[in-house]
Amino acid sequence: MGQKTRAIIIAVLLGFGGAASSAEVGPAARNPVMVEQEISLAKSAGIYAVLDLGLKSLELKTRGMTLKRWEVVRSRSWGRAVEPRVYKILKRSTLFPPKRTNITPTPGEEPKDVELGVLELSKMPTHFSINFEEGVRLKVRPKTKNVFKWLRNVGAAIVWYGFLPYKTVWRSVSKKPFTEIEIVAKSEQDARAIYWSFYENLNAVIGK
Amino acid sequence: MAAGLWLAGLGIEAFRPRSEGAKGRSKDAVQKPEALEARLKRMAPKGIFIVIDTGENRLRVMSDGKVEREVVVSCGSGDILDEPGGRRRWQFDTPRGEFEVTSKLVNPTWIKPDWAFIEEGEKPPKDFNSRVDNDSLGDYALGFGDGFFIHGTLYTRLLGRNVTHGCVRVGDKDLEEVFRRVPMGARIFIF
Repeated sequence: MGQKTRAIIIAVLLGFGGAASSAEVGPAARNPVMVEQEISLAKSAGIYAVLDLGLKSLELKTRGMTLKRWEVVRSRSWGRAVEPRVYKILKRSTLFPPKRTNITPTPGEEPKDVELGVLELSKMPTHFSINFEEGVRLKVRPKTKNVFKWLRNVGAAIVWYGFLPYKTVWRSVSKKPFTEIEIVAKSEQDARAIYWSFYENLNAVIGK
Repeated sequence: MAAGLWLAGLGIEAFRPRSEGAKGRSKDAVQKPEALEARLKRMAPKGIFIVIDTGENRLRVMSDGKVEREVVVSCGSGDILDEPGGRRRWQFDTPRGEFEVTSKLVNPTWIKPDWAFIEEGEKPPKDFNSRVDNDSLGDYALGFGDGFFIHGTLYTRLLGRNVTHGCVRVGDKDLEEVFRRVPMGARIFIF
């Protein structure tokens, strides 16, 4: 196969790959299947999440009422199309997870200076993954104007297009389908709040 | 070889079906979207209830879904305390989920638990009276969950920070308003 032919094939496949993996999400009416799934969660006590890729929103809710909402600036997905249903959060992961402080008992001490370390929103990561059941993984990163963080986002794109094709082949061979969804939060503050609010065993309705 | 695998992965992805139908949809799925949304809306909490945002350290008194009042609070620090000797461990988080107001107290008394002594390097006393603290909880307290309270604080400068042992601390004036407005049995949603 000549070099020119090879280049054309790569360009065509990249074109398809780009279109497939950068799923366009625009405003849409709420998917009734998602509403139905949400009703199943809203019936019982507790807090749950709704990630609506069609409406570009991520919400924390209880009994049908929104507690907090974050805008999804853009999203893309790779792998098996996510079936709109309830998924439980199994684990959060990030490069540098926030650490709890171990209190060292000290006789007669005044309340410790908060700067020494409490677990607060400002210490939450801005780039992280949330692993759900059924091989669904949600990656979150913020929109940013910070040069270094922008470079990190470029790195994320390289990983997306560079690594996921290999994962696709491996998972196809091992018959373990997966879904990767990446969302861009409006700001670093929003990304941190999402990490704070989404904890293990929380149920979420994900779909479009 | 690596390039071939990469291209194969791209190819698989490019030609993957994009359908997203739910398998085994229930008959409810054929209901009109408006009917489903209306059903969801009817489930929303009614009357007076509290919403606590532990990340932003804000407490909102809600009435039929609208914010009546928003106040700055302090929520759990997330710190860990291990008992010397390693028998017990405490993790100071404000619990998340749905609760209800189970008690309303005026001039509440704090019966200090063991961790309050261990944290200061002291041995928990056997004498009950040594545990009684009439000052730390402020003028009012609303109980919820397993021994947690929304109560006052001596450390008003720390409101807005995650510094507590799990309870929710409120400034005096705001606490009085919340106490008077929120009835026994009111729902509390914490996230």
